[in-house]
Amino acid sequence: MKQSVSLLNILTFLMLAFGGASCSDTSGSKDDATPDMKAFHSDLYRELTRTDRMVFASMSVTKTAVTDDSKLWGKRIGVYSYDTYLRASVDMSRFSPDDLIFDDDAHTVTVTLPPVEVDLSGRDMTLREEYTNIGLLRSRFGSAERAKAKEAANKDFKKELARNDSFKKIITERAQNKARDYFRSFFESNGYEATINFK
Amino acid sequence: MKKYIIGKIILYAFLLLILGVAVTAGYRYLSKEFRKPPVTTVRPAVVKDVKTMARLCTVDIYSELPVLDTINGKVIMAVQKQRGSVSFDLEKLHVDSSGDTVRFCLPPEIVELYEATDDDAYEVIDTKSLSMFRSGTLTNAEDNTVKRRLHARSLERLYKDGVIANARKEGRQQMARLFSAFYRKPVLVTDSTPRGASRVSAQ
Repeated sequence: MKQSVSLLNILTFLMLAFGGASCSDTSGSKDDATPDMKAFHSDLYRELTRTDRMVFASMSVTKTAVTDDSKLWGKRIGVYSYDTYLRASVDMSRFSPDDLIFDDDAHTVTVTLPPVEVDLSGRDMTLREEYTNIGLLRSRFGSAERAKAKEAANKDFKKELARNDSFKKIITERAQNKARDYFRSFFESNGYEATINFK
Repeated sequence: MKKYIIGKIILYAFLLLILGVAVTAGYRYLSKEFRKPPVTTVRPAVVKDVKTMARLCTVDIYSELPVLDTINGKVIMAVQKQRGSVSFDLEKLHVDSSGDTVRFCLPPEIVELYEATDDDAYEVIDTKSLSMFRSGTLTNAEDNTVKRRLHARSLERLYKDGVIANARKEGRQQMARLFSAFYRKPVLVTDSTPRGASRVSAQ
């Protein structure tokens, strides 16, 4: 009986000794953090999700519309262009707790940002008149006609965006690179080495 | 004699018929030409430039406004949908976290105001001349002047109505909370122009 009790004690001691050592070797997840660090992680996560939208890239695109109203008794041609803007942003409210993983021992953090969203931010109000040719017996283009030409170009651009991914790919890639640089510097300023990924 | 007169009548009738056919064909062709609508061709989009930035967007703007303006004796009535945003350049933020308190100064706001890309974002209702002997058609330059004036008035209204002040307040609060959580220190934000730092924007 005495022998089995001492054997049990030895086994218990060994389990505590090696079990404790292996626990301290686990890479930092939020579960292993001290209460103070957990509060820090939780506060930072909460405030990051409250920072609304962060814009990392913007693209300007030129659209040109040619209006030809030539008839038998004279030419009537107008060429107009304007710029439209796209923006690539990250909606930080879509950040979830699993997207921010700290290793406080190694001072590293893995951040998985919400996907970059590309949307049309607007178009120039003014219109550039690139060329006009108005015959002697014809009247010049009016405001309504120019507005219609701009509208046709606007509709065409939306269709082009839907069928051609290249615009979105270019701006998304630039935005992702910028976001990585920004968040790396952000965490570095507080002594953390950051790995930035996207969903 | 009778045959001569009948022959002449037939000849004149024939000529009248030819004339009638020619006039009808001409009328039909010309009215078809008149009715032919203008053809608008759109060229493919060309990327002008891509800029990278790190901006915190605190307010999105969307409005629909009537446009009533007079230029060079002509009046234009239209409706415009506008879209924009108020944001802050985070790269211009110089955060001093060396002491017990984190300090930074809120940078100038970036106000962007554009015509929306919604369908019929700019709809011309009517144009007219104030003078009887002048055309009411505006040139493109006159149209652009009207739009620049509208843009300036819209910006003015954003500042006057407190939209920019609210955006700055929101920006201050968001950044203060974020840096306080990040550095685990109290934050002191300086905003020397709480009602708006600048009136410079796109366009």
